[in-house]
Amino acid sequence: MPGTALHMNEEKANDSLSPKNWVKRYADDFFRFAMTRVSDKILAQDLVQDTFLSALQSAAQFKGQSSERNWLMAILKNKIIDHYRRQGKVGTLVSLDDGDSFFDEKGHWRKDAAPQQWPDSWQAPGEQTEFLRVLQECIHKLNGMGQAVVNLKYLQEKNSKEICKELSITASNYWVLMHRAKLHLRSCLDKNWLK
Amino acid sequence: MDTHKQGWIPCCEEATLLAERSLQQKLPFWRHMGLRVHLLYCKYCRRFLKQSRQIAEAAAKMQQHEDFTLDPQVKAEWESLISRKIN
Repeated sequence: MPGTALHMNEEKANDSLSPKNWVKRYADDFFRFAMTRVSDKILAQDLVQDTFLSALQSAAQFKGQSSERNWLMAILKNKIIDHYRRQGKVGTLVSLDDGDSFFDEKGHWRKDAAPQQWPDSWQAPGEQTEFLRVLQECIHKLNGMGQAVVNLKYLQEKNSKEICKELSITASNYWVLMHRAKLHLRSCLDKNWLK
Repeated sequence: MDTHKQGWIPCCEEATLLAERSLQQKLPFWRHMGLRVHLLYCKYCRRFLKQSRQIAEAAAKMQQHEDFTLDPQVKAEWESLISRKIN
């Protein structure tokens, strides 16, 4: 919706909320924001809807210290993080125990998991479309936190510090998540694209 | 994280994690050296690093193809949901 962003920039901190304008003012932006973090249309819609509903319930807590938009955005971000936690459980994921093992007990590549050689031709215009299609599917298959770091890093082009802050994780959690995500993506491409 | 390394040369599991970090930040000197030496003799980790970089480039390209448009009907539903709650 063109003009929406402008509208919101003009929004000043105010001590009252105007829920009847929320959908018009924020729905598109919030949905886009949610989509880049969860890559699932239905889920993104649910998260935005939940945000509006929770906001209505806790409207009394709005003191006007931040703008209406920032206040709603904070609720949305919490909803997204709750979703990652429910789905991925940061703690267990970081212990590297996610069922798929790429390395043996000495830390060497397992034979069946070792990277296959990719043809250089994947970057040719015809081949690339197929590569991107499979890659997108593989990203969707990642679990919550893995998908979150990949989306934030590559679709949102955020740096690792910003990502850690947004997801409330430590730098070493971030590297482990990124490492696991790349191992999974690479292996998923071997299985689904290379063949 | 478990360490399997002998001295300062990392095993494949650590080397791939270092490789991943090296795509996004400068590694501390000995980490960097350990990774370089490992890559000299390990073709699988060399592949991993190359392909991981290619995945990153491709994923960055993908963002331009994604279209995130909200269904007008969903918005209409939200409008009426909210107005029911506030009235």
